[in-house]
Parts: sequence; C-alpha cells; structure tokens
Amino acid sequence: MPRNAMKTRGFTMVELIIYAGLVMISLAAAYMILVTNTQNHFGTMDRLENEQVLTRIEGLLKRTMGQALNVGTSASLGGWIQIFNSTSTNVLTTFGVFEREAKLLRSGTTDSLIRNTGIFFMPPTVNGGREFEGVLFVDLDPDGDGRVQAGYDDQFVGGLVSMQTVRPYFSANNRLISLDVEVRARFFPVNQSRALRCYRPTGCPAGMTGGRDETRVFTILFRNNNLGNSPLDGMPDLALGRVYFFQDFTSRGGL
Amino acid sequence: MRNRHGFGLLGILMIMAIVLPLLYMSSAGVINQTSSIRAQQRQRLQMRDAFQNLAVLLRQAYDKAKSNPSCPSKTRITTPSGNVDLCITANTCVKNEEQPSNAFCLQPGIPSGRNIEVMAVLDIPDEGKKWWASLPDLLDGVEFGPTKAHAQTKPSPSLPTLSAPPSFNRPGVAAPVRRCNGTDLVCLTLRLCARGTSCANNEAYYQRIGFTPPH
Repeated sequence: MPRNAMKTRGFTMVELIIYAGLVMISLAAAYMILVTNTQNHFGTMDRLENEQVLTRIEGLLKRTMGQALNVGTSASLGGWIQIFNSTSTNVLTTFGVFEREAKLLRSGTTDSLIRNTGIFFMPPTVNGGREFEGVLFVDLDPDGDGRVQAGYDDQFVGGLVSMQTVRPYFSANNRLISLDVEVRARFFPVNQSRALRCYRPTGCPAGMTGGRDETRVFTILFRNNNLGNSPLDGMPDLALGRVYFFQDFTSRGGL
Repeated sequence: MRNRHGFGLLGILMIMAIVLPLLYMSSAGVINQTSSIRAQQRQRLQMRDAFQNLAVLLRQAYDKAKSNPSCPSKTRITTPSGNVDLCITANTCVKNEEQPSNAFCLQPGIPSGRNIEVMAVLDIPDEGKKWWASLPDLLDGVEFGPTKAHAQTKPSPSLPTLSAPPSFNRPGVAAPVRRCNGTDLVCLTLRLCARGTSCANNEAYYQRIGFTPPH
C-alpha cells in the first residue's frame, strides 16, 4: 500500500481531538440553550401567572369601584372608600362600602339595578406561629339584601402583602372622581413549602424569604359617581360628562 | 473511505443545523405564547378605556346635535328609549389621555340607522389589532344577573381566619335607579369587535350607556 494511502485512512489523533472538542462544544452549547430556554419558559410562566393575578385584581376593582354611585371618603356622603395603607394595621380593614350599578343590561328591561358592594382587606398575619397571606375580599351583595361582609363566599384574591390608596381626586362636593390603588403581591416558586412562605411586608424570619414581590398601581375612575347637581338644570354631573355606564360585559357573559 | 469511520465535521454541522433551529423555534414559541397571553390581558383592560372614550365622543356628538339643529351630517339612531341624534363632523376624535396612541374617531357621512361605523384605533403592539364599534347594537331578551362567583385565583391554604368581620347595610344616601325611558336616560348599547372579523364568531365587548338629557 502506498504510504500516502495509509495516511488518509481513519482519523489521526489530532483530528479526533478536534472533532471531540467540536462535539463537546456543540453539545454544551445546545445543553446551555436548552437549560436557559427551560428556565426562561418556567420563569416567564410564573411571571405571567403573577401578572394575571394582579390583572385580575385590577379588573375586579375597576369593575366594581368604577360603577360606584354615591361615593366619597366619609360615611356621611353615603358610600365611602377609605384612604389607607394596610401596612399600618394588622386587622381586617374595610376598604370601602358603597352602592353600585350592577346590572349587565341589554335591552328589554330598561331600569338599572343597584346593589351594595363591600371591599375588605385582610393584611398578612401571624397566628400560632403560622404565616397567613393578605387577602382582598369583594362582596357584591348577590342576594340583594344590602348586607355586605368579608367572607370566603365572596370574590377573594390571596397572596397579597399590602394595599394602599393614594392620590384621591375629589369634586367640589367631596365626591371621589378618581383614586390610585397600589397592590403588592408576593409570589413563591411552586416547590417552596407553604410553611416557609412569609407575606409580611418586612421582618420575615430568616429562612422564610425567597418570594418575589410585584407591585401594580392603577387608577380607578369613578365614572358613575354623582359629583353634584348642575346649577343649570339640577341634573347630576358625572365624571365623563353626563354619560351613565351600565355594567359592561362580553359576549361570553363576564368581563 | 474516511466517511465510514465517523460523522466528520460535515456530520456535526448537519446535526447542529437540525438542533439549533429546533431550539430557536422552541424559544420563539415561548415568546409568542407569552406575548399572546399578555396582549389578551391588556386588551380587557384597554376595552374599558375604549368604551369610556367612545361614550364621551358620542355624548359630544349628541350635545352638538341638540345645540345645532342644522348640523350637516346629523345621524338619527332609534332606540327603545327614544331617538338619539348625533352630529358627526369630520375629525370628530377623542384621545385617551393616559394612552395618547389610542384614539376614537366617528366617521362622517356614513349611512344612518343601525350601522354607524366608529373607528377605534387601539394600540396593541403585540397584535396590531384595530377595533371597530357598531352602534346601536340592540339585543333583546338576554340579561345577566350578578352571580355569586368564587374567584379564588390560586390554592391558598394559608388564608387567615376572619374573626368578627365587619358588616354593613345599605349606605345612608340611596342612589336613584336610572331608567332608560327617554326622560331619565336615552340608552345605547355599544359593541366593540376586532376589525375585519365577525362579531358572531369572536368575543365582543359590550357596554350599555345612558345619556342624561342635555342642558
């Protein structure tokens, strides 16, 4: 066999080393991309779920408070909403109680329907060495008896750390035109034991951290609120210029 | 001869050519999925703003028609609670102060009746959707009452107990019940759908509004 033919058969050691190196680099790169993608995927899904919770809170409060009819910050005006910061209390707090337009109305019946609404916030608490998360309750008075109170038969959202109302904007007769609400929620990795989850705003014991806080601030426009009667004709003024909003809905029934 | 002994550089490149696009596609899939869900969430919140803007615009057109009986493009809508005359002139638009890129414009010169088209441009970058509204869209006989919904979003075994929860009865100042009877309110039902699609096959957003009589 010619000497040159011997040389071209099989791999030389140098070639093998180079190929092995290339294969290792390729596999390592592919593995890293896969790991990063997987982490990104689960991180994004977690983040998305967190966003969804906050969006649900925002929607729930806009949907209910946006329909409030006679609301200020004092009970003497009828309905009221409290300007508060939940971090200064550790007991169940009434966020607001007021009447609202409540009918998902298409044509046919032309009267509005008024229902009471109660919104309550239970801040994170510690009881018997156990940590409890903050919970927002919204009682929509579904049975129509006018009585509202916080309970687990209401609409409620847990996992909250704190809640506060800021920047109220009033009309001349002290009725609310708009209000900013700040909600802070804490999210934990799925595999973190419930016993190791702490929802307190500050001062969580060592070993009970690891949650990620997300805060959302949104503005609620009290678009149906009676801002006083116009001197021109005695009709009530509304936030958006005498447009009254019935409760909105989608073709699937809710919003 | 050499090909019998292993993949060679070409083989590795071919494997990479298959694996890398797959990885890229999986990343793109995740990103798309995320964007889509986020867009849906935003959409719902934006619709509320959209309705508010549209309602303000219609109210302006309503007042203008009342104060200017000789409006050149007055459009009459007949509803069960009375007639609604709208004065729709060119460039009747309103912008959302919080989201200046969102605007609503009433289109002048469109035939009167049930199908007045209202351009509603909503800036949803991920979807690039535009919305249109037709009004009034009067539907009969379907009514949704408030339901006792349980909207717990996550399993929450660490919910606090509620000791002596506060309870309230109806607030002292009772709000008047509003009626769509032409004297209290003249009412319209607005429907917003994605442009270029059939509302029947897609989720539509509804808002019933009432105009108090003009000054």
